[in-house]
Amino acid sequence: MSTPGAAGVTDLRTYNPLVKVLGPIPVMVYVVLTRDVLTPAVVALVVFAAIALLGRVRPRVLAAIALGAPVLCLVMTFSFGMLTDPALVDDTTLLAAVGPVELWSGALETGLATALRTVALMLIVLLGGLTTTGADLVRAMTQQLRVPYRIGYAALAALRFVPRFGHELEVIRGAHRVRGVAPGRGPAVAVRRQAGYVVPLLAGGIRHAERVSLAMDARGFGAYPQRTDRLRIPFRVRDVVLLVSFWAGGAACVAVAATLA
Amino acid sequence: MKSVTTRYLMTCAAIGAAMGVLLIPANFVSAPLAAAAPMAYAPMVGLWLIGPVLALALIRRPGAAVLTTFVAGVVSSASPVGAWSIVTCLMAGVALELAFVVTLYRVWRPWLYYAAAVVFGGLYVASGWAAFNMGSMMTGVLVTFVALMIGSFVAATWLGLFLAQRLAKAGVARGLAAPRGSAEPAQVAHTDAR
Amino acid sequence: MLAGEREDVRPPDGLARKVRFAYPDLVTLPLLDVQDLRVRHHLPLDDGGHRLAAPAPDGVDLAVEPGEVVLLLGPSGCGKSTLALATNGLVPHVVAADLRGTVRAAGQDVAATRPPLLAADVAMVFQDPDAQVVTGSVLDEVCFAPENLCLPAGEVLARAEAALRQVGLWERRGDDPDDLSGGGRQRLALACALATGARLLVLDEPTANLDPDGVEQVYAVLRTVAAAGDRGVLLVEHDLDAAVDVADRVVVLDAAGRVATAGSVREVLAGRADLLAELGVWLPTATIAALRLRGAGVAIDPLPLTAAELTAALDAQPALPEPAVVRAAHVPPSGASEVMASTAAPVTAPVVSVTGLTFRRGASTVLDDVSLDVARGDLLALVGSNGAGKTTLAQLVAGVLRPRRRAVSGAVRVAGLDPWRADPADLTAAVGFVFQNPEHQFVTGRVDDELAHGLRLRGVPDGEIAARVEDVLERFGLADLRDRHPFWLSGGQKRRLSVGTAIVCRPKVLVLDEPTYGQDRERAVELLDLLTALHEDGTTVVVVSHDMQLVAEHATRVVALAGGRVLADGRPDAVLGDEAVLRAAGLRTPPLARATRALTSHPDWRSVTRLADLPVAAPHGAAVGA
Repeated sequence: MSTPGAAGVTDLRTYNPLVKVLGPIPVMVYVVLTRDVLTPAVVALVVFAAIALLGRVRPRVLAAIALGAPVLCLVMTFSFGMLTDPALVDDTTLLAAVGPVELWSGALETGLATALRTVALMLIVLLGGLTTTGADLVRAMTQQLRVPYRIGYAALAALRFVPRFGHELEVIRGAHRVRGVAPGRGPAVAVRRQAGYVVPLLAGGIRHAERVSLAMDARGFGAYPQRTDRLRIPFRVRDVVLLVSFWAGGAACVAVAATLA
Repeated sequence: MKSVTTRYLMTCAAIGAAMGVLLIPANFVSAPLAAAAPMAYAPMVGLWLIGPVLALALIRRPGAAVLTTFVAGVVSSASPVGAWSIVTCLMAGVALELAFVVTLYRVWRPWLYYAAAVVFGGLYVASGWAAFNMGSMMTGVLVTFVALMIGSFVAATWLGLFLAQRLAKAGVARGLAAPRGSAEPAQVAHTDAR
Repeated sequence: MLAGEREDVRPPDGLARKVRFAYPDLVTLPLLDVQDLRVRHHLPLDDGGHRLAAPAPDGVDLAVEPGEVVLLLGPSGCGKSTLALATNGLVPHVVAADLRGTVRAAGQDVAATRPPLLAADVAMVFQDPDAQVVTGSVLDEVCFAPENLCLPAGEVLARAEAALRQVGLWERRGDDPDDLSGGGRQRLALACALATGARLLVLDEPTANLDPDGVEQVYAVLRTVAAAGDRGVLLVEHDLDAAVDVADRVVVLDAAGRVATAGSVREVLAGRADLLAELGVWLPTATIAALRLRGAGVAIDPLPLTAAELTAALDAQPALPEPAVVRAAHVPPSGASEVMASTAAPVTAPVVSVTGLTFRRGASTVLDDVSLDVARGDLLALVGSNGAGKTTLAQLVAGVLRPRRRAVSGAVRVAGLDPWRADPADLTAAVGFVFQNPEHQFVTGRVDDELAHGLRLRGVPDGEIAARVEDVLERFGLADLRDRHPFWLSGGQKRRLSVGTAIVCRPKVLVLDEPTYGQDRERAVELLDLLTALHEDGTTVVVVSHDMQLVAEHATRVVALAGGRVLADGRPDAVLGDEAVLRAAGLRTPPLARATRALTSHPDWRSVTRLADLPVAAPHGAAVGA
């Protein structure tokens, strides 16, 4: 797990998952409520820098984000710009008109703001998401948020079902094919065929889960209100520091944006 | 917690896992899609509601929707948004569950699922309103967008109910669901705990 | 939401535990004490209520003392598994049922205790290794129970290490349980049971899903547990050939769930063999063979229980009658011989032909240059350990698996069709496939629709569909269940229906994937008899199996696969007689062959592999174990 000491301080992965996932929520709410271009842009840049410096993300993933975010921004600026009501922006410059579709500079600006907000939010989500596994978040929820451990472990046990679903699906698909369920081609038939897999897949999954539950009961699952945690997810002073720096960072971004404006 | 059997927990977990598997690609696709073609993204939003509707309709126990979406979130955290998907999924589960809390788990009729879906759809649109600055959109676009989203939630509810009915017919989760027409979930839970 | 109730049970601290163990009575108490146990399962009804099933078990007394292994036997439906689940209260606390009588585990009244609280006293191993894995690593898995019991972290690890070393998995503690073989996963389940510290182990059909190698691994561990002497074991098992030398005592239930007989292993299995056979309880192969020989006038006394004992008993005979040379199964069935006669060709065209088949899944080669021709009228057994490629080969032959062009080379033809490209309607007339899990095969909501489905697809007239469905319903004993949902049937009924759906279209070839997997002995025999009957009617049968004795009894040809390659191909007595081939394929010599191979006298008996090879029995003895 997390190793204490100086080495860990610059590694976001070693911080408490709750702080990383839930900590930035006030910043996100603020970003959602902004309408300008600068604030989300500054937030997005800062968060990207944080991911690059502290996230210990694989270079390929980092490159994908670095390329993807601007592309997303560009596409969104136009798509949301098209959706903007021209009546609201007809005091700005008309850039192009193709038939009934008009593109105003004000609309583009609205689109850009929306795009930047979305990108900023996504990057904040990625900051927590890329540095936290679902399993660790579940452990932190049971240890710090007092979520009953049986619920947390039911979720962890469910992770085992995923590859099983894949294998079952392959078998059921073969079975339906040899038995001639919804044969033929075309999208409508394909949808009908896929739909036919759902019930047997779920039925098999639930039956399997029931058998697993017997084995869990037999192994003392739920015997006592707590259980031994071999893997502790610590909540340390530096987690508090991180939490405060999320908020401070958010405030700083707002201040910088205001200054620039 | 004692009154909750492991069988019930794991049944929700299985439904949640299935929903989570469905949401992993959805998580990959939804962000770029929401950006590039909001109109194509709108019909997708119902995906988040199929699991909890199915779980509540099949198991008919308090908490089934929340549990199912929690598990779905954990499972689908194997996508770019990571652990954040737990929060997203839980929103759908809690919203649906609330409708049944308000009616004290006495009503299990389809209309309540649909009503909950429409209310949740409304709330979802309202929250998206701010994020997407929807007030600035053309009226026609706006109406289509909202209709697609609400329609997606309603369709997902229909699908969830349909699947629950088919599964019940196949004898799945038999003996786990509270007796039909029983109005006292507390009693059921009690006899279960022994 | 779900939390908030007050918990009245605190984790056991060291002192509380010590006091409990120091309690004087406990030393003399049995680990398990079942008195007058009668269980009636709740069968849920549509309105949410339930009705009661017939009682099973019904008034059973049973005790397990420290250091003994008690074997629980009985025909299907007698309540063996129910009794096992009642030892830690899963019945009735989780699996709803009405229960009468008392069950005490380590002195505690099970009826008054929640099942998880009994984990420290009763540990359980179930049939399906897959359905017992909760976590993502071998070590986490073994730690799961001690953690639930709130032991200190150091103690958790100490127990986990001891348990993993005992089952030989300590070196693999970091692995994903899914990477273990079937036998390995079941040993892991045993380690999990040992790590609870419970002194009573309850094993419910622990080897039903394993290949012969896996069975051997599980019993090797079980022997070390029994030898240590501090734990008691309640074992529900159908594979008596494996269990007989581990067990100390046997309790036999009858079909009504009452105790038919109980006593030491030898006393019951050898002494009351006739009674057991009458109840429909399977006996060790050596015992069945000896009973047949007795019927044929060979005086074997006492009855042997193991292959080694049978060898000794036969060697002790001054003379033996000649083994039956009539090898009925090796004579091509009537249909095939007619074809041969009419075409006057020495070899008929193969009905299944596999040429140079190589199949890759990702980076691994599942099948490697497999070539195989199956003649009309063969009953071919595909044998090999888990992961040898048997199922993949069977699925490719039947068109269940339609490989991508890049993943495959070579070709498969079945009754003149390419199973990867043929239209399903044509394919169902050429080849039928029976899945390992029958539920995979069901695509409709009613038993009769399930049978009619394939015929409707082929455009068979309605009148004929009705007649053929009716015929199969009658033959397979499903007529009363025609309007049921297939998922509601019992295990044996589901299996029969799955075979029915495959044969109702009268395919030329029937392919079955591990049809006896997870089935008890009676169901397995019932199924194999059904296959033999189909085979005699002229259907070519390919069956994937690792039940060596069943293969030996029924197959006309055996193909052994290992690592995706054909290791041996020939008559059953030749393939199953080659110890080196069997070992290499992860298989074991079937019990009867094991006994006859070791004979020092009677050289003409050394090739006897099948019970049918034994001298023709007098009518009286013939009933036993048939």
